[in-house]
Amino acid sequence: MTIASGASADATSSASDLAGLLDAVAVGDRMAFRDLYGRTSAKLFGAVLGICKDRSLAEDVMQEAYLRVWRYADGFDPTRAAPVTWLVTIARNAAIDAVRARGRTSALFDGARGEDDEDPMMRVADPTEHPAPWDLEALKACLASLESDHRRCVLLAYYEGYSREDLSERFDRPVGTIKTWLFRGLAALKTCLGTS
Amino acid sequence: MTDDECTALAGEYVLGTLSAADRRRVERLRVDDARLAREIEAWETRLAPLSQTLEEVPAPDGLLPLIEAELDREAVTVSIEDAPARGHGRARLAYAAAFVALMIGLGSGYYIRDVLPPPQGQSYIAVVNRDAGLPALIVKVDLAGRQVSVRPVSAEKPADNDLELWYVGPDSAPRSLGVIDVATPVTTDFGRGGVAADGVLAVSVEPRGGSPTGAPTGPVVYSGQLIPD
Repeated sequence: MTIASGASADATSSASDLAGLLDAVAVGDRMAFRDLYGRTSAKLFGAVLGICKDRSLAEDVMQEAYLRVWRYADGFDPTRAAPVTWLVTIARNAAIDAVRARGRTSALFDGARGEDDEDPMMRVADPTEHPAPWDLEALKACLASLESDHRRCVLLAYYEGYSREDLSERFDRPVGTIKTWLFRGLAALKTCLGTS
Repeated sequence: MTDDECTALAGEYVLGTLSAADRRRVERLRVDDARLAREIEAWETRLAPLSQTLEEVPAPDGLLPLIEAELDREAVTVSIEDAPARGHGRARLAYAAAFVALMIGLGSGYYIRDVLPPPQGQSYIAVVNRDAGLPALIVKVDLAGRQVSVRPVSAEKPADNDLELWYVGPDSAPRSLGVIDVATPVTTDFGRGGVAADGVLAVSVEPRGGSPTGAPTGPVVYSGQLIPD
């Protein structure tokens, strides 16, 4: 395997490496846990910080996320999910739980408006050094086929943890409209991915 | 709930747009609603490629030691599937340590303590489980009748072992309440002695027929606090 310059931890930690570490963590192997943390914490911290915005909250969430990884590692099933997907799901859920429990303060929310008019699709569309696997290509194509507002709702929720209420404020539309956008956007995404 | 509504609810749950209350509602529903559970997994899979686009941000130094300190405070729960048929000396020592950690861990609230109204009385109940999972057993202790009733809910056991139930008081060695059957409710003799305010029930994996030593020799797989019924 050729490792491009600036290769991420992803490129050097194969899915099977991570799955092996999770197996070891499931039986209480602390060394494996440290290794897993070393290989995945930057990815998870990126996911958590994007949602929490606040570093101190993000650090608390990281602790909770890795405790959940330790507790639930024996529930990881490599036939159902890639290790990174499983870990990111745990981290995002912990971050969203924390943000929902705390409630967005307007200061945090304003801070999130830095790149105000940037379409979050740009983030997905960023060319990477590695060719994106076909499933990312398929998802990008399907996201691109959504109506712009529907797509922005989906991506702001995924990357930045926006709730319906946050989206309502961001787009200056009633929560009911946001709910409808999400309903239609998700339905269209499912249909598109189902046929791609 | 129509299929479309189920898809949207699951999708919003995975995206994270729901309120805290709705998230809890979905988490409760998914336990019994196979369609919803499948749809949540499907959305996790559909959106999984986005995780490749997440920006990596180095986690702050010093976070890992904090996490490990928290793990030290937690009970060690060993996967049932990995329980040895007979513990080696070292493993047994580790299990003993786990037992102590369990009792400390209970104090710091990592195990579910169902909040029931606490009338005084002579009977106690415990929801015995692993982490925050489904109840494995519901156990009632009737001090007046000196009986303990064990109702299995979702307890599992390794094929070559038995599960043994223990009462662990704050100051005393674990006292066996007998081998339990994961399929049938049983009522056994609780014996003499009371139940301490912070008494705990624990279930360990033992050789067939129960612990040969009278003390737990295998890993603790389930536990729960006794609370006045």
